[in-house]
Amino acid sequence: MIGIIKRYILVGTAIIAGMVILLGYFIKLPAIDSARTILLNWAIILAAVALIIGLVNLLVVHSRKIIDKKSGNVYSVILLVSFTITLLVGLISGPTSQGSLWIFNNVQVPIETSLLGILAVVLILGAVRLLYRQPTSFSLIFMIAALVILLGTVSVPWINVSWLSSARSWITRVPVVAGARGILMGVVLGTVATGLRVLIGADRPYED
Amino acid sequence: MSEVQCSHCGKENPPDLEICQHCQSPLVAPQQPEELADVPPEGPLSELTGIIPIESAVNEITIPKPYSVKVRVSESQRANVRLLENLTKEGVRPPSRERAPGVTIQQALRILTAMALILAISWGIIFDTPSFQLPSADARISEFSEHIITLPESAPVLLAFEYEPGFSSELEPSMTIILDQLLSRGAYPVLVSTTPTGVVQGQRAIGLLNQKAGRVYEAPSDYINLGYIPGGATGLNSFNAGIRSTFPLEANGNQVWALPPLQNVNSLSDFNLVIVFTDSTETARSWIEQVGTDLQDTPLLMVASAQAEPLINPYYNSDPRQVDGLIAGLAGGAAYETYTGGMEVSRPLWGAFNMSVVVAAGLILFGGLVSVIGAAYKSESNGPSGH
Amino acid sequence: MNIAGLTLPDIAGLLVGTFLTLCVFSYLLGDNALFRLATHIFIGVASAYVAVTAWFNVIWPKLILPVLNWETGSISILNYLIPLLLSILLLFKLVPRLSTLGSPVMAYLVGIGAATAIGGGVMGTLFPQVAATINLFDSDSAGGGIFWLLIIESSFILVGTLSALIYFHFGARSPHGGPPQRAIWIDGISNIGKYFIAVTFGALFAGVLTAALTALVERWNFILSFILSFFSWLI
Repeated sequence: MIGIIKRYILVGTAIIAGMVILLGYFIKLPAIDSARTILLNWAIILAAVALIIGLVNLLVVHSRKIIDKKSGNVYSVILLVSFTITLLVGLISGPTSQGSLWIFNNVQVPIETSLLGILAVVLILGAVRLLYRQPTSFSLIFMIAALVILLGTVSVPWINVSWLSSARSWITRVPVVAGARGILMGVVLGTVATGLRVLIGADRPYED
Repeated sequence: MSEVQCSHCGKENPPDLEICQHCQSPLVAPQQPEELADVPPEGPLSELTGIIPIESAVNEITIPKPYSVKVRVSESQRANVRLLENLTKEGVRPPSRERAPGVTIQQALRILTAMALILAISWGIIFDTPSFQLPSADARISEFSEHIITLPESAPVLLAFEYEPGFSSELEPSMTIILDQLLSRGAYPVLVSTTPTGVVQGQRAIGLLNQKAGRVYEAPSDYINLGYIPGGATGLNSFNAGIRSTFPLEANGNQVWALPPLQNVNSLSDFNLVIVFTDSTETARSWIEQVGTDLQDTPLLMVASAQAEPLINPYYNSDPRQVDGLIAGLAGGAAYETYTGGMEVSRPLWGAFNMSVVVAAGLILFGGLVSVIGAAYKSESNGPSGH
Repeated sequence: MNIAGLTLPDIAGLLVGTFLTLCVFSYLLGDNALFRLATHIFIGVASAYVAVTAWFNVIWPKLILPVLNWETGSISILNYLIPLLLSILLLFKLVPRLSTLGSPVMAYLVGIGAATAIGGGVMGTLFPQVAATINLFDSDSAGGGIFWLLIIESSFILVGTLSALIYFHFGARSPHGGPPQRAIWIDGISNIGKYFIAVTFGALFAGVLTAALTALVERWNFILSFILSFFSWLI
């Protein structure tokens, strides 16, 4: 009995909140707009709290790793130390202070940019392996399109690539737009179907 | 009570056990099935001979006696049991994986590819010549610039920093030029972000411009950093529904809406221009879907990473346009630099970038040809024989 | 890069940045301790930034400051007390035995997120993109140009869009009790769409590779500049 009441409360909350927001997209009335504004303001506060919860969970996992002396706990110590230092600098001097900027410019940007940089090597090897494992018409067209777009982007002095540049321009303006539009519409239709399932209570991802 | 000796292994057991605790054989002696006594029949069947005296069977119904379930174990089975016992006593230790000596083929390919790219990049950096010309500007670039140079003075412009720090190198060249254009024309940039690092990204962008331009732009006189909107698309929806309620204060905790450039800004359509710097299609879509629909006459421009460009193009190449201007990648930034003739931000990287793209394309082409030929040779040699 | 003109924090920053860059690049030789060191530092720093930003931009101005300023202004039930109560309920998600108390708040967030996605998707993408596909055949909107070329190109885009969309239709029936199959005409159209999707994915791949190469160029340029400046400063 309690389980059924709990389910009705959860489903009712999701449906009512969702319906107010959804109506705001299609019907412009002051009452709906006001309700929508209030509900959305609550949502962004709760989203920030949810972020904090996620972070606390991260810290608990790594703390447990250290306490239980599991393998690799040295890295957990490093994680917690870097977290603490950045947190203290940010909380004391602000998120846009000189200290925060120093850490951001000299730690986060180099690491993230380098991670993206080594992806280039992985992508090139992956492309080569694709043709070895699966030399189908799909993969050949994929590779030709990728090469034309890559080479059409650059200007190399000893290679006349003006026709490549025109080919690139046509490909990105016509077939890529067609394919991308189809993909985007497919994604949106899928999102609408999934969202409607939540709003009619068929899917309940918030249930324990 | 005396202990019971097991008939199978001969060891002593407590008297209350039914099974030997050493060899698992039953301790209770097997019961022989009772022979039915020749009881003279009674009742209606008394005259008949040779029939089963059911009464005695019915009268004597009791709990069934335990019968022997003694397991017959052969010597070889006993040896296997002893082996299993020994294994479980010592514990299972997985065999140590010794790495094969030397470098694997995959590692070698990775190192060679990286070396080829780094050599190409080094060549481009060291021998950067004017022959690596910046790309020329097309109609897309001139349209983008037109939106900025026609802004009135003190026009509030919303700038959204929606990219991860890893994409700074790709977006910062065009971003620096755009910021310089805005600030030198007296526009008032308002910085915002739906990614947590966007707040400090915006500050970094101002710092980079200050270094390049040789003058110091400061908040709140020249720009303001509103801060972070959590919740992704939901946060943008909230921002669109009420910008002042979403940001009662700016990133450093100060009052913001009383500032002269922002006194008349009550909704997103009151901004003269909205520019989104993004590395992802999802964020671009969120801005288009949640904000773009209500901007009315305010143009929405995007500076995107090359990886997001293909899926933002349908919004740009649409009628009516949902994205009014689009610059993509380092090439787009380089073209914008050519058009504006401003500070050199893409130039230092352009030669190296060109060389790296050519080498990458060459490696894919060469490796692809080798792969296709190799795959064809493999399928031929496997061919009709199936081996 | 002129090392002589840099301050101590700047030089320290350059050294830290170079070290961390080389730690990440060492992954090309295989997974190792330096790479893991760099990634764990990155996770710690990035997580802390999230916490600081959430605190300064949301938690402090919307949940803490109203209490500190209660004498000067009134605390609104709608704008403060209800979100505060909901936030406290959400915090119970951290305690496994009491996590059920946070479920209504999660349901609220999920409902709002679903509605936002539906509304934005329909009004912001679906309707405008359908209109854009139709308007391809409007020569006035296309800004003139050769009419037959416009029709050919627009038809090509229309065929591509529809076939790419149909490619993602996976509904199938079992004819005469056999294995499930898509209808023949859907199969045929989706085979055309497959090639448009191949071209689009090729463009996406080229875009990701371009972005990655730009990052690699910038990082190697940084390291090379630092090393060359350092040696020229020494000399």
